[in-house]
Amino acid sequence: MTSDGIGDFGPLRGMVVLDMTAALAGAFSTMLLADMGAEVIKIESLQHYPAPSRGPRNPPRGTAAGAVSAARDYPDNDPGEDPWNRLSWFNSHSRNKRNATMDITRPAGKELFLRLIEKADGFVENNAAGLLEKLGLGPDLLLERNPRLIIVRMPPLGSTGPDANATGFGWHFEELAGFLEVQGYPDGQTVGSIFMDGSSGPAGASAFLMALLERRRTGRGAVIEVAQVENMIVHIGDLVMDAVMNDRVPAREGNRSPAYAPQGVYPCLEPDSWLALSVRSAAEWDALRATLGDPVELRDPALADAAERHRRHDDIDRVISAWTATVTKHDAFHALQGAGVPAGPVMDEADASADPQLHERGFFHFLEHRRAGMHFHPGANFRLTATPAQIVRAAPVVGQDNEYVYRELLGVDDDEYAALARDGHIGSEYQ
Amino acid sequence: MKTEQVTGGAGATAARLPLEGVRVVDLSQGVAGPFCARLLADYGATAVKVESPAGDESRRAGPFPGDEPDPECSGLFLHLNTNKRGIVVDSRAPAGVDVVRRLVAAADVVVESARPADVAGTGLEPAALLAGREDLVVTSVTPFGQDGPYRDYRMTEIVAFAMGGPMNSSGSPDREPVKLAGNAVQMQSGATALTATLGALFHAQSTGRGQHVDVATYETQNGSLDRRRYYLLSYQYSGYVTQRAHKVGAGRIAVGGRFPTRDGRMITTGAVWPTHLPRMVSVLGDEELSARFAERGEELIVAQPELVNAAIASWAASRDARAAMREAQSAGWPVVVVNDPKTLLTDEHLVARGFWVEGESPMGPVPHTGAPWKVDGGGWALRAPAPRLGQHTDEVLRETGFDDAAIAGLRAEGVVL
Repeated sequence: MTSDGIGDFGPLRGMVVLDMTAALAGAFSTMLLADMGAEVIKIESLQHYPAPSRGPRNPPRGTAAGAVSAARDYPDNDPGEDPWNRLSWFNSHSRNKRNATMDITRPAGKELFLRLIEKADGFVENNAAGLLEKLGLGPDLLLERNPRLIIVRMPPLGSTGPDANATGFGWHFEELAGFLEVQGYPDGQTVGSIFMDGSSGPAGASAFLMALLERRRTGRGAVIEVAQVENMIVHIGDLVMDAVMNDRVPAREGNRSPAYAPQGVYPCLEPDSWLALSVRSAAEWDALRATLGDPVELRDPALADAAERHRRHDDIDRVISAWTATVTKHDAFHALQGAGVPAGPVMDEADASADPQLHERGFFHFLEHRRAGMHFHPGANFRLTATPAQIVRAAPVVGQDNEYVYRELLGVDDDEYAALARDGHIGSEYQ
Repeated sequence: MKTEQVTGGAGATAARLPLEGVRVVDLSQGVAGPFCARLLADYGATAVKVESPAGDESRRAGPFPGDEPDPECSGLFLHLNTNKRGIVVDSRAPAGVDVVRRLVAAADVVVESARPADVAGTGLEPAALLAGREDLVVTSVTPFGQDGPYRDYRMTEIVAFAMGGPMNSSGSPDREPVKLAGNAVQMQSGATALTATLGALFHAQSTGRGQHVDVATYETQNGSLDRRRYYLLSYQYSGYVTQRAHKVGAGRIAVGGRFPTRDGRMITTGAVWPTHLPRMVSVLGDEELSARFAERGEELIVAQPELVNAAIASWAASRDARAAMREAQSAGWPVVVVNDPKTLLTDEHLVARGFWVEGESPMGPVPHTGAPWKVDGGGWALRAPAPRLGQHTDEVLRETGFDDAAIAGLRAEGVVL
């Protein structure tokens, strides 16, 4: 550990986790572990530009639509000379993590990696099924070098089965998991979701922690497989139960609920501003009516019954919309919540960034990044009151922790360090 | 369907599970807290679910067989509460509070989801549960957390996504924003609570010191990497606010999407990326398309999307979905079958992997979702169905040290059911 504070707090203080993740899913898992105090070290190769993690090497610039859309992910809309160091996509999850470079496709890099494996408690990767084996770094070899190692592998479809090698983007896997058919507008338009990476992150982190608890007893590491699509299916287990119980495809209900009525989003006073609400009980129904000023259309006592509210949902929606059109989403939110109705504004990034609840809870952290500057970063996703997360350092630039990793963890001397730099293992520029 | 026959009751599996020996008391209800406790139980913890006489609110949420509400048959409840034993305690009565506190005295982990205002001063608030129990982990999974101006506000699935997730950018720009499927957001919150709970449990086992874990669904969503966390930093960087930018149906792309196949299913190509284009053209084997692609290259997608889509449609229509997927995938063109919750049950890949597990239910033995992840190839087991309301009250009370007379007394007073 060094004085920067990484790995010097939390329940995982002293644990080293190597990170060979791509894009978001695995990186989300290691972020959760880093926020518990694990010293997470992402390993990159300067010879293999990691576009899924660090974005386009030469992002389009100028005023074309593609360029404008890409620029939003860089400070002041400027990708700069080293866009890979300035990308929000990568920097958002890499605070609290280290970064070291080595080319594991060459024998010398492979041996360096195995020496690091010997020092590690965990290793997380979410590459295509079989990539480690192709690199000659299969789990058997890793466990031979370190029997206490916990290996977390996150192939989208698992490592076995007829379609284990199928590839795709999030959209493909969400279709395979049955998500998209059951979400979207009820009149037939499906809507893309972005959920799989969000569900995979906690899965990989929890799986690591379970194996760590087991290791306390057995002294042995483990190989974990998070088949991301299967984990995601567990998150719609209630809809699967509908298919099982009723031999049907669950209805695509849009914003409505089979249980609660009314439920939906309603347009508020300002342009493209919306309020979401649900009514789960007769008490919440009464609270909604009272907040709306007891509209005459909603006075029918039969509406105390949820089934009746379901039947007259469209009519009820019109009355709610007439009210929401006269108030801001935030005023409507506080009025309804104050009366006991679950309701909330549809919030964008500007709303969230100014939100009093998040600020009072200390969710945001002001961090200075070497190449991106000072910004607020979202903090930990949970609060461990006795061993709190510390958000100690912004995302590293490429190779930022090479000195520490090579000299302190691996005990590399000056001559070897210089040789490894000459050979392109150690460095801060992609080749 | 290849399933593993699992009957109710303990000991269905011989292999040791990673969390064996961990004792969980689940005081939570709804989605997130129960999902957290269920995952603990799935991997070997013993879990006692404590319900009020009215039962967990998810018992009233459905889906139900034949759409007939029945608190013993709610699909949501059955999914979220497998592997737990159930006891009913009326904790509005002081004797009920005493029962719960005695259960907690024998626990390593408590999961609870009460609004702070509802439990303050009852003896069941997290601080009171932790008092005198230095090694206990109490995980609160609540909408907004234990403090702050929204701490006692209420939340449902749609409110969680509206406030915490990227609902503002989900849907079509000319229509209202739209939520995700089912209760996925709150389950993801419960999965995050599991991560936090396991971290605290590791600390407790290492040091003997437990703690209060405060998980706010609101923060699990604002901090989720898919994708509010990333969007929040983009906003800091450039001021960019995400929008419902792409008309649904038109997509971000002119070509690709879903296409019907010969067997009445669908495949999807998703977006066709430039790197995939030559592979796609070669798989489709359409002479006119190949000739035009040779002339115009990538530009063809923009110039003549209808030609490309027609070639994909005709190729798809002459194949079964799974065969089309494999043909395209083997050539490096990412095409997949479109599943829904029903086709998932017979999906060749999932069935071959043994994902589905048969388990008992009020409807008889039915397939249940399997392991979300495997530890050394296993570590997970469906050992018991979700409990009927009060199914294990006597058994659990006896184990907790209540004798038959005491139990009868509590029943007579309506403190337990």
